[in-house]
Amino acid sequence: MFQSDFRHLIAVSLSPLRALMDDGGDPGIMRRREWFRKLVGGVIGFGLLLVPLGTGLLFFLNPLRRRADQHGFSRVASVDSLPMGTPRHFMVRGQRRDAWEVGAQVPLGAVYLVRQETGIRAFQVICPHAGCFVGYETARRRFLCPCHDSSFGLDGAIADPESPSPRGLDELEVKIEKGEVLVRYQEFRPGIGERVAVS
Amino acid sequence: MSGASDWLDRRTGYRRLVSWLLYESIPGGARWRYVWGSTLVFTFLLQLFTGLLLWTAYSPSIRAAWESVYFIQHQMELGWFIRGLHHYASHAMIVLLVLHLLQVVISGAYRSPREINWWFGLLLMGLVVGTALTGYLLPWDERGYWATQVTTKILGIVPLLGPTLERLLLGGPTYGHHTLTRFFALHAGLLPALLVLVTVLHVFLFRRHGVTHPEDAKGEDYFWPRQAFLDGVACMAVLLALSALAGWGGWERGFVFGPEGGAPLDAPADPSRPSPSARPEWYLLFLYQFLKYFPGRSEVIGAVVIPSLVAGVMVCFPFLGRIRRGHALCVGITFATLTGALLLTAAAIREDQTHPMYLAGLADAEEKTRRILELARENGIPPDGALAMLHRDPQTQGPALFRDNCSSCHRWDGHDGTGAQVTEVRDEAPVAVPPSASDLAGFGTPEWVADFLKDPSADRFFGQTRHRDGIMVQWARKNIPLMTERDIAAVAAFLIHQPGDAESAVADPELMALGARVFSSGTSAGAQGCVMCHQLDHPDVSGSGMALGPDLTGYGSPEWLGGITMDSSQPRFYGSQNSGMPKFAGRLRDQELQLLTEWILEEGRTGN
Repeated sequence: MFQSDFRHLIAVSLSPLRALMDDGGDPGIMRRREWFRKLVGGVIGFGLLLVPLGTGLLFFLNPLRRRADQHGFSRVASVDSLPMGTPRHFMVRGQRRDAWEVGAQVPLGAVYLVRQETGIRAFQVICPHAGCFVGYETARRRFLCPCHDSSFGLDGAIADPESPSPRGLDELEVKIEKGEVLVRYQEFRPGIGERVAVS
Repeated sequence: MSGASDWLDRRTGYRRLVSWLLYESIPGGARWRYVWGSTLVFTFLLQLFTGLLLWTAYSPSIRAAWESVYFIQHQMELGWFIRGLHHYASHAMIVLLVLHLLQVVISGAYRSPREINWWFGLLLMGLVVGTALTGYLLPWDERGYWATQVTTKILGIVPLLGPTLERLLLGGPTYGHHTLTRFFALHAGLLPALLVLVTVLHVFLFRRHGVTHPEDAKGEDYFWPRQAFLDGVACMAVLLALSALAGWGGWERGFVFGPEGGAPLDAPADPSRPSPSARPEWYLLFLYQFLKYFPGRSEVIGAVVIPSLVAGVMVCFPFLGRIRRGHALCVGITFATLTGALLLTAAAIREDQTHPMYLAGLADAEEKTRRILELARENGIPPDGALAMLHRDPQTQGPALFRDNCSSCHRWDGHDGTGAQVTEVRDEAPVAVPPSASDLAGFGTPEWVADFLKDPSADRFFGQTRHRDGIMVQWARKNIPLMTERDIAAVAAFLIHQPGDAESAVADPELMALGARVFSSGTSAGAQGCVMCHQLDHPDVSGSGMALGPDLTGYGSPEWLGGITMDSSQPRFYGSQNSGMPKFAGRLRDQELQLLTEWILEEGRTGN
């Protein structure tokens, strides 16, 4: 009993399709059906493409919606440990969200701290040219990127007009609390003249 | 036999396919210059095969990528060979592509009716370079990581779409988990699939138009057997060269044919530490060098505009070739580009050979690599990965921790711990800074203690401190002349090898007993013992004094060194007589303190 009901149900639901495929020998009906078959086929084909491609595209574009972490101040070094006039690089730790992972005190990157009579300044170690880790030349008292030889003075400004870098080193916010140096870690987009934070 | 092949042919028609493949007409006969396409197909198939094998052992994740490649390279049977083949075959594909391109340009095969196949060829070149670039990052080692940083940042400065493309490639605003998964999907999925597809189309179109032969070509060969033989010999030569390279351990080591040869693997990428050795693979050095000549905001011209223009001109070759002397122009442009690239490559290599910072970075990277391999071999790699292991290694972390925390007063064998002089800038010039506390190289060894006892006022010890004329120095002036070398050695050994010290059990018992006597009651010649000023909780020590100096219980142990580092003004150490050493409690994290003390004691013992 159940089985025949089921068969009937299937036959009824398929009847439009059967009608579409059955031309009945009439040339007029045949032409119209032919046209209709192409239309339905096209719609089906479009749907076949649209579902995987459309959903796939949204899935693939997901990184565009992700935002860079906004970091607060992280303790980096103590004032006493900084030599006068010679920059030193320090690892910065902080909270970092990366896809599924949230780390509390993970290495974010590094900063140069420059201590001078006038105070302490912090510079991002990433070269604003192409993103290498900038080095420091003690003898010539300047920052030098070992990749494309961009050079920067102790104030972070471009030292040599021939430098490939479009801007000086990126300065970071610094705070001194109880003899400790705190830095607000940020990264900036390289290769452009303006300082635009990666967001 | 022929019955079976008839049966198969009736059902599949395979004979037509085979004869289509083998009996291609080659007017003018088989030639060596026609082998490049075949060697490229062969090398690409080799890449698919070795790549699939590597895929069975590779894990694209930040804490597993380097680790799995390490395992392939250093632990798996012939892993170094398979990886070496895969690595160098990618270089070979670039070389063969250039040769193939030259052959096509010189013979004029880019012209009508082969325009579309020329464009397919250029597309294949782009796909090959893309596959190589995405593959460079996958080991997640220093060189791949930093070089790819530069590549993706160049993508980011492409006008308009650049930043979006960069973000899509990286899987987020910065490098992370999805950077590796996306690079891997490109390298092992999308790009090879496209390469297979376009290669099939490329070969199909090539067969449709036939080989471009000289117009006066006489005679005719079929692909099979003469050209196939030449192609086979050329592919053999490629495979032999690749096998040799897979065993190549660099100029210093030569051919090693083992895990130490073949494809390089640096230490795992560490974004928080400098790695000045960032360079692309040799075949992209010309683009890297080119960037140096574009100051300031003109970078985009050198990095994007000019390379795109050159590529654009090459796309237009079929049309350029039609005009009068057009062919000569195309050949000229090709050779000019190639010569320019070679000159830039030579300049890049020459500049690097005398670049102090690059060379220092290279040496540094080599040392780091040596150490991580040593650690991985000895202990295996912990679940939180090789980089975490490197961050927990006193030998790797100690020097920088010493420099950052101790070297403004202390020295290590005269330097700041990392080997550099401690300098300060006065009147615009760096001047060496004299130490204001003891030199800690060798601290925790009996030799260091003995040297200290003989002359505490030496520059190496208290010479630059408030204790220069202190009680310890006065004691030494008066008492050391009354002690024998053996007395001094005994008390030094006794201090260091206190119960609980690893070497206390093997230390000479007679010497230790003498040391205890000297410490408690001095020598028979009249030297005063140490208990007058120092306390020491030890069964063999008797008598007590005024506790003027630090308590020496556990002297030279990590616990003692850690304690005095965290707060040397505790009554147990210098109390109110502290000479100005800051408290490190709250400044050094527990793990940093442990690494620092372990490094000082370990490095001092091994005398490195």
